[in-house]
Amino acid sequence: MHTRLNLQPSVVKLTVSNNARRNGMALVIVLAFSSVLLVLGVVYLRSFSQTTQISRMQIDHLQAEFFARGIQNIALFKIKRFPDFFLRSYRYHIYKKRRDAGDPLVEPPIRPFEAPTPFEKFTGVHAGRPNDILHHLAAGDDADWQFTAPLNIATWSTSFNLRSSEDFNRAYIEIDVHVQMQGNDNVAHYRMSLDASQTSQL
Amino acid sequence: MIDIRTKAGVTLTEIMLAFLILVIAAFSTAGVISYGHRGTVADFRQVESIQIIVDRMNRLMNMPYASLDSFLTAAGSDEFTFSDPIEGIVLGDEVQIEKNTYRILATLKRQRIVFESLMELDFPNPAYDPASPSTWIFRDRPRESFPGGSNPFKIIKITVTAKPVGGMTDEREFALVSFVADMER
Repeated sequence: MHTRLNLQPSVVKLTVSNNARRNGMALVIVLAFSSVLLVLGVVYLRSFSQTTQISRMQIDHLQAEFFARGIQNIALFKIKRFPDFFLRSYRYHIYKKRRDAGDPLVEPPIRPFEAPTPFEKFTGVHAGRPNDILHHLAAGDDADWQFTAPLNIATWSTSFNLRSSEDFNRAYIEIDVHVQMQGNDNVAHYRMSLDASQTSQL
Repeated sequence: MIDIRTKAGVTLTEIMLAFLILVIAAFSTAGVISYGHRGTVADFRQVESIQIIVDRMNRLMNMPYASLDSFLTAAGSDEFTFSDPIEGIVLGDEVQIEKNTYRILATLKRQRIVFESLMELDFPNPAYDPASPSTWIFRDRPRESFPGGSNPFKIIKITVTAKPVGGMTDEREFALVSFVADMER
């Protein structure tokens, strides 16, 4: 009898202790499982939103590239329409640069250099004229002409170069177009190179 | 013994609560995965839309100016949106590509342009030597515009758009713009 009385309390103590341990474990397991699910969900959503961002960057890049190709076509049309103006103004531009650099072999011009130079006028933009189809069009002109719509282009510009090779027997016309999309800090550069036959005399 | 029963009841409540939390978490996760799946499908269709407009634009840009101009002449307008195939280039309001459907349109427009600030050599110039730029004198010349009519258009603006249709979500439309010039005349 005495032995029974001694045993009972110890059994009760053991049972309570096991229950308490189980109660805690259920909550911990569920919370851990929920946390894992939450983390998986967040990671999944984050990777999805990053994919969408890449898609937007990709379309921005393509829009800029095709627009630049179009501007290069217009620039090439201008060269073909006014070849004399392009070649002479470019040669005059190089001559002026050599003269400004103090090249002793270069003779002075028979008439003082004027600003803007003929080549600056060929490129379309110069002091007092910041608006041209090969460069940034003012918002009003762009809206009238519907030139860039439906794209969101912040600005664009075009530059020309004439390069020589094979001891000046061949020439390459380089047309560089720079495009910046709205909401994007990067300016994309696109170059078109054209092999052109060199004329012996201008 | 009474103490043990009380503890057992608490355990049941806890299990029910835990199960409730688990159900809520599972449903939330299922919703997130479902949302993500819809997004992935939409993303795939958007990528395919981009591939479509690049393909259509390349094919249109490779066509001669005269051909593009003839399409507008046939349409009887300076600007026209084509929703039917032209010269083997598949366009339409509902173009089926494998499992997906797209609206693919191409707009051609005769683009007015103006070239200003033009110059030419000033003659007579007794000192003129063609080989020596130091002897060249430039003068301004009138601007040239190509607004149509007697001075015909020389540039065609091409706009190609593609948009997935019939999907689970309303997806965005993609557009490319470029220009083709008349280099022949």
